[in-house]
Amino acid sequence: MNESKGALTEAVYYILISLYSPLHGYGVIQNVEKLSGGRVRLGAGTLYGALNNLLGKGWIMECGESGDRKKEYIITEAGKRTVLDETDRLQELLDNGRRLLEQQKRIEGKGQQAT
Amino acid sequence: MSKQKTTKFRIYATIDREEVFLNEMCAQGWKPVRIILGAWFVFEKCEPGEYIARVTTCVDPKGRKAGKERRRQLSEILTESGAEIIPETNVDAGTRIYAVRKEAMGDFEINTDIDSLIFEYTGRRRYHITFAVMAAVFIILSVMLGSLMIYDFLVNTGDKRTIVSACLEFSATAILLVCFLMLLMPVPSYSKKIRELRSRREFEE
Repeated sequence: MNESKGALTEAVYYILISLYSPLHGYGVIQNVEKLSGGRVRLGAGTLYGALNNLLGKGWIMECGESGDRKKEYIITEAGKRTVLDETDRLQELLDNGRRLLEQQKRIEGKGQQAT
Repeated sequence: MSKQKTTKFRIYATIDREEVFLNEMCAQGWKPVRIILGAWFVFEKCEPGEYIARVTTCVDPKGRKAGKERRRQLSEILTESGAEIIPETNVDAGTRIYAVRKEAMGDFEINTDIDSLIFEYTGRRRYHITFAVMAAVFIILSVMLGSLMIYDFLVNTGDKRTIVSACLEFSATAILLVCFLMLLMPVPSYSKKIRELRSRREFEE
């Protein structure tokens, strides 16, 4: 794991994967809610802070305005690399967690058979 | 037919208390529609509990007022998500955004993650500290001026008008002192909230 990068927050991860196609602020909120099956609802302050941080890091960029003059954003190459790294990290967590849980289940199953 | 309106005069030391007051009024069927000089709250009749009110600071963690563009962006996201921005005139205009949204639209939270909550409370704390420091400077200047007047009365003039002016000066100092204490009062609670959020972040995100 790349310690210096650190883990992304759930909000940031969802915002980044939402921006593979250009979206304006509220579009991001709607897309994140849809992607997470309604579980993650971003507040306006959360989105505003995250968008500014991501712009500062160069992970997203402004890509013009939509028809009604709303600013739209899109993920950059650096942002895409970050998403890939984070997805690998999450996959590693998931694999390790599942493997250990299955081992634990087997040990418990053997213990019950022995008794 | 114009809607029934009422105006309440309130001065709160913190944004948190202001938000509680606005939500109490919403629960009673009064929707905030305008805030004048940060103290006169104008309400319009609505259904009890029809709206939820939220207040957020528009300052950065150094307590500086965010630019017009940033304020516009945040207001825009709020409006798009179904909220109404309450027009306000304040002595520190531009540092806060007041918004209401219909309760029927679901939960209304402006900051939904730990980082933005830390950002919000750090901004609020710095805002209070900045204004408290300004009040402290005025207190020092006011005490110095009052003392000079008393000195002038005792040593030079003996004019009663000078002592009256000094009394007025010290009254102003007392008011400034109250403002200073009101501004400083919420700072420890904000610091505590920030500490709690930081420790939560270690486990949750």
